[in-house]
Amino acid sequence: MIKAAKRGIDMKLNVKPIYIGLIHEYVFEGPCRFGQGEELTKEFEIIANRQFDKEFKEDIQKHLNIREINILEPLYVERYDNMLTDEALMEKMAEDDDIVDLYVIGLEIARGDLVIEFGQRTTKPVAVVPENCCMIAECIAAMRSRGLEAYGYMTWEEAVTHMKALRVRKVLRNTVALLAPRWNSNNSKASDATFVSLEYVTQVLGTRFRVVSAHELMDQLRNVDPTTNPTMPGIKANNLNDEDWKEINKITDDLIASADDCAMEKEALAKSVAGYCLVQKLLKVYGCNAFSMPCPDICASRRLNEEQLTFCLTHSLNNEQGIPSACEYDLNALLSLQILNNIAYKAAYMGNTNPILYENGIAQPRRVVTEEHLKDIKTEPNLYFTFHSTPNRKLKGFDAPAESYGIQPFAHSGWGGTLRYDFAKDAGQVITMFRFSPDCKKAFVAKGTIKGSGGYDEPNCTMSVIFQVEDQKDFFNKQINFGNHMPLVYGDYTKELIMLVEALGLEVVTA
Amino acid sequence: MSILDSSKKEELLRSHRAAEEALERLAATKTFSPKAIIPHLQAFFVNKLSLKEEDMSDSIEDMVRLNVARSLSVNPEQVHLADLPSKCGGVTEFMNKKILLFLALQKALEITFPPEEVAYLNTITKMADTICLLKNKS
Repeated sequence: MIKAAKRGIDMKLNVKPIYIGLIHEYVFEGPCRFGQGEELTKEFEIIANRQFDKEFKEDIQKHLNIREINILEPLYVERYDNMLTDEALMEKMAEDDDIVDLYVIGLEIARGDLVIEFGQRTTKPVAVVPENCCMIAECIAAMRSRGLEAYGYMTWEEAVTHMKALRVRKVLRNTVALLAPRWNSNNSKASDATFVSLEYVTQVLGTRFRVVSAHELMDQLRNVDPTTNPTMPGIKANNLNDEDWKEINKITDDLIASADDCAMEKEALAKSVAGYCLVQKLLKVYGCNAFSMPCPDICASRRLNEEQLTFCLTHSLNNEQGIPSACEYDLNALLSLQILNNIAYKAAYMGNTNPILYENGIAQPRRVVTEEHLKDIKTEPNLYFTFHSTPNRKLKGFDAPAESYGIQPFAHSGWGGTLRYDFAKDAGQVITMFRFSPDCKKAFVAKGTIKGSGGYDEPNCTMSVIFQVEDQKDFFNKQINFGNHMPLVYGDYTKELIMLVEALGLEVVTA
Repeated sequence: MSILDSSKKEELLRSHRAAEEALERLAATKTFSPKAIIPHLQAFFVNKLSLKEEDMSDSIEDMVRLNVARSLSVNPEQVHLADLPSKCGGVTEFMNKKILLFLALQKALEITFPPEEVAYLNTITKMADTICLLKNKS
């Protein structure tokens, strides 16, 4: 059994606070040291530096004691007026280096050289404590000019926002995605704007990918002797079994019982729940914390039709548990979902994203958006819509109560379970969208406001959220450099996401 | 010409003497127990900081803050806005006064507060416990 992957939302940024004191052994005054009487004694400085350290630790606790951050044991070290660089001090500062994600260092004058050298010794980013006088620009400029990752913040608020972004970068580096392609592990027949190169994505974002054949996955849906799968003859696979089916039936019953509306028979819905349970099982087997598989590629094999399921429900249920799960093998959207899930601690949603078109200032029906859906908002300018049948019940937070929902089949013949959500009840809610460019060199960060919804009580891929952007044409001109599926999350997280993109070393495009 | 009127000057000198006496009584203590030394510590802090009986608090930092507030003519809540560190090292008047009080205690009692604890000796009660521990150990 390989090590289970932690969910992104369970990961924290490990911050190591270090205060570097300066103790003068001798009594003297000079251009950078002045005082009178006992103020110049070593005894005075010992207490003064400990007082600075105490205030530093109090600030760290006050500002960084948040869900996203794990504050490691704070460290106090001293240098003396001989200005030596003590090897033991450097080693002490690096004592937790293996687990540190970010050092936050408190200091005053005549200790910057220690911070620079420490920055050169560790591979981890270093920040100077916010609101520090003089040493922020002093140290950060020196470190950045040496090619080191160093951060300085004017305020604690800015520091906290940035650390939230760094946590999401850590999540990306610790994301291991399980992919189930049919033909091509880099892309599918429906997601042309996914990443051009997964190898490059691993280099830039640190995300790793594990691949299982879609046919092997589909075989394991069957509750048969696990050594008899046609794609793996004689190999003991991870087929769903009687025990799994008890769980499948329970989840199906719960889904039906809790739904406001359900347009599916239990037997039909259970087949899609089985897909979800198998994926959960395989995520554990492969040590993964994210999932995607193609739609048209598998659809064209006729195996979904044979097994009577789609993986829409899998994506919905995965996403609402903090396991990003993307439709159509869109791995660009998959990592965008991971980012949004983690920046907001809310389950994100993705779908085809297109502008509503206008005639004489009146919004026109388009694809899944009907005249009925637009009737109260048709004079609203700058409308867009996103549609896919993978909404979830945790759009307002993983810790929030589950939202009300409906169940519709994907296929007109009644199979393929999907959740439905009435986005219209959240009209006025701000949403944030995110997507990488396919070459993984840029990222799109955009904002909108929900205006309406459609497809709640219809089958197929009709589930839509209608929202308003600031400037539709500007959004469109930018979006076409990023792709069709535009993952979105409730709330405004543009500040954090812009900081994340910068921390990733990519170019940010906003709308 | 002094900027203090004579009565104010007299009051300061009286406070100073009272603080010195409290320190002497503290140093002359035979058996160190919190009960025995707390009254001397209270007298030392109140007088050294030129406070009145009614200003007495268990919080050493509150008393130091009150002293700095009065010297800067601001409310204690505004001390952090008015008492800015002007030296390269970043020490404020509040911190300076607190440290000098601690140094006076260390000198009179011939002890050294443990460096890792010294910044957390914020109350007279805690200070008394630490002094007793150090004196009874020596």
